[in-house]
Amino acid sequence: MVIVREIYTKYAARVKHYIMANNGDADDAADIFQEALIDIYNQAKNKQLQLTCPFEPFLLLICKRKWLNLLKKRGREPVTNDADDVSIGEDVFALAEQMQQSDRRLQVFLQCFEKLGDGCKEIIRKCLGGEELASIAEQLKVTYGYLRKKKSECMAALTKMIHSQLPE
Amino acid sequence: MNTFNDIARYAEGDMTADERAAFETVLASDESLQRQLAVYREVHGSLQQHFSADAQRDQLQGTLQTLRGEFFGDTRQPANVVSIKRWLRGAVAVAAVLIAVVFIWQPWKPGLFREYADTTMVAPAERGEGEADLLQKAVTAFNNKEFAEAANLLQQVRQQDTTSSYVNFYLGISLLQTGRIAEARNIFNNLYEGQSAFKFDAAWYQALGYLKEDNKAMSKEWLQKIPADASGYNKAQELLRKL
Repeated sequence: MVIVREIYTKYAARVKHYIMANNGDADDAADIFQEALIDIYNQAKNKQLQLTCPFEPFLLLICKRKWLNLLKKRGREPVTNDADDVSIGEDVFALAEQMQQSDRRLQVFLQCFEKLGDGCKEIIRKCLGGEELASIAEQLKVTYGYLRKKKSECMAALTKMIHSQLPE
Repeated sequence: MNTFNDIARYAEGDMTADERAAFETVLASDESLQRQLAVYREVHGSLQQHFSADAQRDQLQGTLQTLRGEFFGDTRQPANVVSIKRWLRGAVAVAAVLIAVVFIWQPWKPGLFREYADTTMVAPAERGEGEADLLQKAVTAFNNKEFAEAANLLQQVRQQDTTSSYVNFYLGISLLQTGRIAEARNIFNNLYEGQSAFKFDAAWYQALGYLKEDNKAMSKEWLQKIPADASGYNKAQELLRKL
């Protein structure tokens, strides 16, 4: 909590300033800042992200990229140029790139997941959500063996779809 | 034959022993199948993290919501206000994770080591009586990255059969991963001196061991021992360029 406050104290104003100078408002800045911190948390927890670069430029770069993406989606052009990026180290770019890359992959996985039938979606969501298979089988009123078979089939269909969409 | 069905049944442990052995025989030499299996595992892992409940993440969300108004002069209120008690309980855990993120400062070389040292242990097709169970446990531990446990189990397997280059090779990696570099180096040396299928893989891990210690010169030397017709050649050249 103290750490999170520290991060806000140190960096919130800069992100707010950057976004407001770039066609955004305070709400946008708060959203972006919040999303960036959650992303970093997820990466640290799940992908064993280790910071191999200074935290400050890393966080600012993540916020900036997120904002530029959003601007693009809204069909607007950014105002400032990238001249201030020159001072950012290569390691910072590499780590930000790695994080974005794994986020992009997760987005592909989730888009494909949404295209599955409702039955498969439910089975995958429950089975990967950490519940015991036996208790899921009971809830869905199917046998344990049938559930395992369906889980494999659904995961196979999903992976096949994802594999065809991933860049080589 | 539907490849992805087989991959899923293999990864989920739904195959019979015969099917498993047959699948692994193909897997050993089929790079495209290896890649597809890797995609399967990646999808499974990512979605598992995505779908499982994460109390800490929820706590962090709550904390961020409360700081939002203060630092961004925002009037929007979160839909459901997190109670103070809940908020305090999570604070410690959240702080711990963030401390790890912010303050663990790693030089870049362990990063390279991690990037290149990653591998999975393919379960052996033929198994002797008695050691089968131990070995299976070792494979599981190894693939779950519990290397200390894997090293322990593989050492037990090795007591029954000291000559298996397969067992020795993965024992070497497990030791390397747990920082027992000297023991690992010994094993890789023996493998490299021999003529097993792991000869040049051993050279590769020998190079990574030195990389871990930041000994670039020795790392390069070992990478250069991997000949152009070995399967690890491209990887070795790639790493050589980065050093």
